[in-house]
Amino acid sequence: MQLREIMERLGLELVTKDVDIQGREVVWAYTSDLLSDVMANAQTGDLWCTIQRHLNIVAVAKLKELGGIVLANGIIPSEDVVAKAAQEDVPIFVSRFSLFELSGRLYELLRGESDS
Amino acid sequence: MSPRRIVEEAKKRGIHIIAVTDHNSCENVVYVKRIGDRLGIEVIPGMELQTEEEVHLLAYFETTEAALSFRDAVYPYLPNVKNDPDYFGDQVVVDEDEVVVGIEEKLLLNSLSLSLDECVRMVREYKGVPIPAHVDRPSFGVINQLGFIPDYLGFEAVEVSRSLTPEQALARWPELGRYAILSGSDAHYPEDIGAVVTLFLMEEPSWDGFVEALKGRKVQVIHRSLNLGMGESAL
Repeated sequence: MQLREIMERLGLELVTKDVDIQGREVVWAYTSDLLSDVMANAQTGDLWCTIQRHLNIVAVAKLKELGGIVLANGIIPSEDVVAKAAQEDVPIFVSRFSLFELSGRLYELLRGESDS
Repeated sequence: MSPRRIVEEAKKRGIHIIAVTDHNSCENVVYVKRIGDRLGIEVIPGMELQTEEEVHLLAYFETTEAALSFRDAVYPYLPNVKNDPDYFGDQVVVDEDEVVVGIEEKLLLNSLSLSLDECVRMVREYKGVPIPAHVDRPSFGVINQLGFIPDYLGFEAVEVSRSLTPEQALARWPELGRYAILSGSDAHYPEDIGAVVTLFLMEEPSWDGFVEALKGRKVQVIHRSLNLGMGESAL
């Protein structure tokens, strides 16, 4: 599904304004706050849902070539994180939902897509 | 683990320097230091901080005063949750005569609402030395929580748990080679004191010697050996 469509349907806010998400797609997602776990278990292209806001999230997303990061609970990343993400071309979104609800809604969206 | 018992055990086991790093707290250091001064054991005041990423960070300070001011600075960032002694035990402060002189009401095992980066910056602001704790451990170790140790934090040293040697840690995480590697008993019971020690090459047991040895990586971790030579000190 197009990132832009996910963003609109889940009411996400794109905080990395300089990252152009036009035409970018994700097919699946991964939810975790432990970066070692993300490095070990997330799949290339996944949209990553987390409440982890440390700067290392950008490096991990880049390393794993993830489709983007969604911070749950309305967590706003620091300027450092946004700047680094812009530099590395990693889109970061903010969701007002808890991780549970965000993951559930995202699962419904992406599952429907992969079934069709 | 009263202050008196800690210092007496350390002395009995030929240890010259100890550090006391209570979780998100440091008031007990005052009394450990008093007994240390009396018995000739150098006591380095410290704390083990739990950051918002659930990373454990050790903070060492030159003086008790610096450690206490630092503690006052981070205390407001400890969530306002009361300890339940039935679940977590009493959080007591014990003086040199083994008398309970204080009880901490806030639950100390929580995370501070400060990031690792903020904690590191604050420790240095108070002229302390920040060292990531038990970086090998699957819970609360920086590598597990954050995937890797951020370079830009410029740590001089890292600590590994007593469950592995520095060589084993290096084999698994070669990037640790850029730091001095420390270890210790992380004793929570008197009989564990000195099970693992770190030798610091220094002129005499002191804060300056400790910092110099860290920077110069003149340290060596010893497992279950307490035969310390002259001119060496163990932490």
